[in-house]
Amino acid sequence: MTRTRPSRSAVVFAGSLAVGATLAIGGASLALWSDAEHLSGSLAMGYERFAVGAPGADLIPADGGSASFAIDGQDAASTLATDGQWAAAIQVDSLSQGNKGLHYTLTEPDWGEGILGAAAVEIFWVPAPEDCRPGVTPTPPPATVEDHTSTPVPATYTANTEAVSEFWCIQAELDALPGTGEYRNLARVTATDPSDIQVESTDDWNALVGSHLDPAEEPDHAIPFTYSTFRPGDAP
Amino acid sequence: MTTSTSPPARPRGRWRLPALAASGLLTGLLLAGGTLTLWTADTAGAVGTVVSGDLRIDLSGPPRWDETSTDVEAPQQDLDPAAFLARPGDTVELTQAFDVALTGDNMRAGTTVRWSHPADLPAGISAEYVILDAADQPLIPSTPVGTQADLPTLVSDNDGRTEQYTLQVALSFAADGEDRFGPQAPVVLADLGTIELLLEQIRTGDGATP
Repeated sequence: MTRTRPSRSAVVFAGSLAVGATLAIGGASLALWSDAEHLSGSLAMGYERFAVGAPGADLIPADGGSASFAIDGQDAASTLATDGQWAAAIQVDSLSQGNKGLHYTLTEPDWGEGILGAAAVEIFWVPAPEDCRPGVTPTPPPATVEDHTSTPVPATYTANTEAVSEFWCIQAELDALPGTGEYRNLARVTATDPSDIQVESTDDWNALVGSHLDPAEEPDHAIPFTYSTFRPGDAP
Repeated sequence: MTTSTSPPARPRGRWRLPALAASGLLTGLLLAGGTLTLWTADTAGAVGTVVSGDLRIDLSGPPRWDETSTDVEAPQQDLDPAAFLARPGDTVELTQAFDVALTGDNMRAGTTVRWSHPADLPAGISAEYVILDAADQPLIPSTPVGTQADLPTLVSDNDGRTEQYTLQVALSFAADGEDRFGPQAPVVLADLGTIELLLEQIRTGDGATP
């Protein structure tokens, strides 16, 4: 098989043709002028955080606007039955960045028919966890706290990353377990014997009566916290 | 004695290749260079200097971000977008001034707003833009970010003209939009993309279109 090589002249002509066409096309593009400027930008969104737990422990973050503080029922009931008093501190962390405030409410649960149900339970704000002790008297809360509600984060803009921590105290007092007490029975018998002499005999006995309530049967309890965020001007 | 002289022998083919090259170059130029032909035709025979026109677009100063939330008592002005943390219900405005300059006889140019990198706005976040003239009058209706818009064509002459425009982007975070819960939550970024302000010469007539 023979192969025909293009002539040198044809190669030169084709090359020049291509160069000319390229130059001309380039010239045509350059004939239209343009100029451009570019700019870009973005904004990030802030976040909110609400968590509840025992002071110093890992707090449990809220899921879907609510969180709860868990109480070990047996432990609380046992202390109450023994000491007649029991207290536990709760830490509540709140954070809401940007132009949104945060408001929350805690709800005192139904303590049931057990030992906690028989006790006088009170939940109140305390300035610090160490202020939550059995028998302590509540101190006046700040203006942001009313009853069992608080607005720790106002709706003014903030870029804070540190949460506002607040503390609450659950305090329970139990005078006596229901049904407990003392039982004493006194018996006196008089009679006349066959010789017509009057005889008499007395006896007495007593017992301590225990409650049917058993600390080991105390169920766990939970204090629910619900929170919401609000825009400036909106009521919390 | 007669002496006869004969012309010196020309080396055969000495000019053949250059001639072919020139021919090819010219043919290529003629075939593809309609526009170039126009330019040379226009200036042929002219006496003096032909001065080219000018066409320029420049950003005027840095972009400015202002909070426009109506429920905020003291909205932040000239805020730092890298530090601002938006929340549902917020509205923020980006303003960027730019100048358009044209010089040249029969210079016509169009300004286009388009995106060289697309915007990325998560659900619940919307953004629209307008272009204002020097009198703060809108040149285009409010247009969603990411959608190209063309401004009215500008015509100039040798005296030139400069127009001052302003790009205004309104970002809105829906009040019922999704919130982020905790620092570990995925970052939500309202990304406007890369906005390109393009100024292009417009030519009309035969041979003007490349």
